[in-house]
Amino acid sequence: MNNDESEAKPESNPEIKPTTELETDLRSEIDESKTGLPWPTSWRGAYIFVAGTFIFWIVLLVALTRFGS
Amino acid sequence: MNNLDLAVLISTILGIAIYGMWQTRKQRDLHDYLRGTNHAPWYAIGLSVMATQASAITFLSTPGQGYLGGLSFVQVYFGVPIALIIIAVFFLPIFHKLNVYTAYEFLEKRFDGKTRLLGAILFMLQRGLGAGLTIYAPAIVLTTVCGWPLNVTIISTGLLVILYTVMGGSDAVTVTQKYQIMIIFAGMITAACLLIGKLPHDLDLGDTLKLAGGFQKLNAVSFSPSIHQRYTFWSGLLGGTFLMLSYFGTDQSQVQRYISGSSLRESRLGLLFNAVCKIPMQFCILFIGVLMFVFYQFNQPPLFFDAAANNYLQAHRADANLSAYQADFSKARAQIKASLEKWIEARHKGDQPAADDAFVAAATAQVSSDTIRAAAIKEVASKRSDAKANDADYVFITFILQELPHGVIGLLMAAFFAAALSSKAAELNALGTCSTIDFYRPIFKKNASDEHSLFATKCFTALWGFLAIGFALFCNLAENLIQAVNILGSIFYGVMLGLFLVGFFINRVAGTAIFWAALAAQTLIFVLYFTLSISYLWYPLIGCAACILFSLILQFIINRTARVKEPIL
Repeated sequence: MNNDESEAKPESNPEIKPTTELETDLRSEIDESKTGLPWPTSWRGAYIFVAGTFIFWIVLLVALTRFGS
Repeated sequence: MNNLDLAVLISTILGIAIYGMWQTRKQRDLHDYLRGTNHAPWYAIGLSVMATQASAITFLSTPGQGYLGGLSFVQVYFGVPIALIIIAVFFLPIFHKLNVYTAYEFLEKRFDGKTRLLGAILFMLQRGLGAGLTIYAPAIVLTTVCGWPLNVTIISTGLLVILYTVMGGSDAVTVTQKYQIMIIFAGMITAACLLIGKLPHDLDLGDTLKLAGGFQKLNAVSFSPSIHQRYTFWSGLLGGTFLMLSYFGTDQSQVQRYISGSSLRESRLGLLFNAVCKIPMQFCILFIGVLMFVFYQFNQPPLFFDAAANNYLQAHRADANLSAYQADFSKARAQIKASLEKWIEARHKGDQPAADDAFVAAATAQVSSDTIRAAAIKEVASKRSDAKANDADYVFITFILQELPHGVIGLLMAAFFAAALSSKAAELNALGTCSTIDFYRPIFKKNASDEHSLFATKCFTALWGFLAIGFALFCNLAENLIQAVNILGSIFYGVMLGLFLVGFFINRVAGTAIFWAALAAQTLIFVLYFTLSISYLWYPLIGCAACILFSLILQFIINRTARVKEPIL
């Protein structure tokens, strides 16, 4: 960036975020609210998936215990 | 071990070390050393968290636990998915928002300096002691393989770990752990496949499970309400949740791993990856132990798995008593094998009464074999103090050395070393970080430059490494290794978790109340540990509940108008 270009810029209001910064914030917020995985896409779905696999393993282990006894 | 094994072992260990050093060659400042360059994706974070928890102890001792005690140990991990979801939802966003190096910085921001110091000291105390145990585990491997004295092995292994850890920072730990855990999985899967191939060919899956179940090895879940029974569904779900919540949420060696994620999302996914994988992973490792039990029903096991006891036996073959024990033991094992072969034959023919009779005969011979072993180990232990009655730690390594082909032995040795290095590096890195950031800088050198702090962190890392060697040299283990580590953690973790839970959720409690409450709760746990015989899984729950309750009472008594810092939530 040369000096002429920087002088030509209008004075910015510090209370108003530049559009690019707002976009970055918004994108970041959206990024954090989604898992970024093909499935599950929401965090709620991810927690339900973890709970589901946990229950699956408990059932499997109980079945194994009963089979062995 | 032959030259092929040594080549596999040395090339893997050196390869990992060189790779770690190469990765950290551009590391210049304190932030990079402590938190990494924040580029780690979720799967790297997930594998790093997994590798930090799964030390060499996990892979050496857990199959032995499965061999002796069956699958019941898996219940300890029932709390992992619940604990990790709680951490992902509540703890992680706060750590990320505060941009902390250590979890205990949060305690100062929420309470005061003395509470932060208390949290850091509790962590350093239990993790420093635990670090000794994690040096002890790989030393057992070398002792068995090479016949070196245990103490010399502890010192040499410890020095290697210190060198690696001081040179590598947090980023190097995360990056190398990814490859170390792959080597570990490759080794364990190979061992499991070869073990299955060594089972009798006429033994199908149903027979294997029935046989293991008949000897109480498939006892994965117990709904017993007894608090004295060590592993139950309830102690695993309630006590285990608190133990795992404390470990993953407040232990710096874990917090440092997942806060190095490039974003909150990556860190969270890394934790959830562990929430899904931990129970199946532990089940598979324990199941290897169960399969080893089945294998040794058809193959003569050694009278002692414990290396010291076995060496004594080899050196005193002429001893009449020991010879008698060995002969009786061999006879009992032959009877088990013959009875089980009859059992399989009768079972396949559909002759249930004959199958039942054969199994009863095998079970009777098994009891006889266990009695002979117990008497023999008692005799050897009376003559040689380092021979242990509980030789679960030696079962898997004995199987590897006696039954697996060369090359695979080297791969498994490399896997044990990879596991030891990965968890040790994370532990010492966390201890060094905590000592500098929570202890040295706030108390002794408030205006320390980043260069000075980096140097101090490396010095503290080395110091903790030397202390760990000292503990490893002098610890005398009554329990098997994996249990010893969990018991140690359970004594301190509850109070640490109490500090954080009060900080996160109870805004009315201030620094002085929580500080004295934590001290009182820790004292209570020490008293209970030495007076009660309840399962250790309950101590984190009791410690946490006591800390929260005491803090509420103290806050009420001390000063109801005490100024409480602004909540950060």
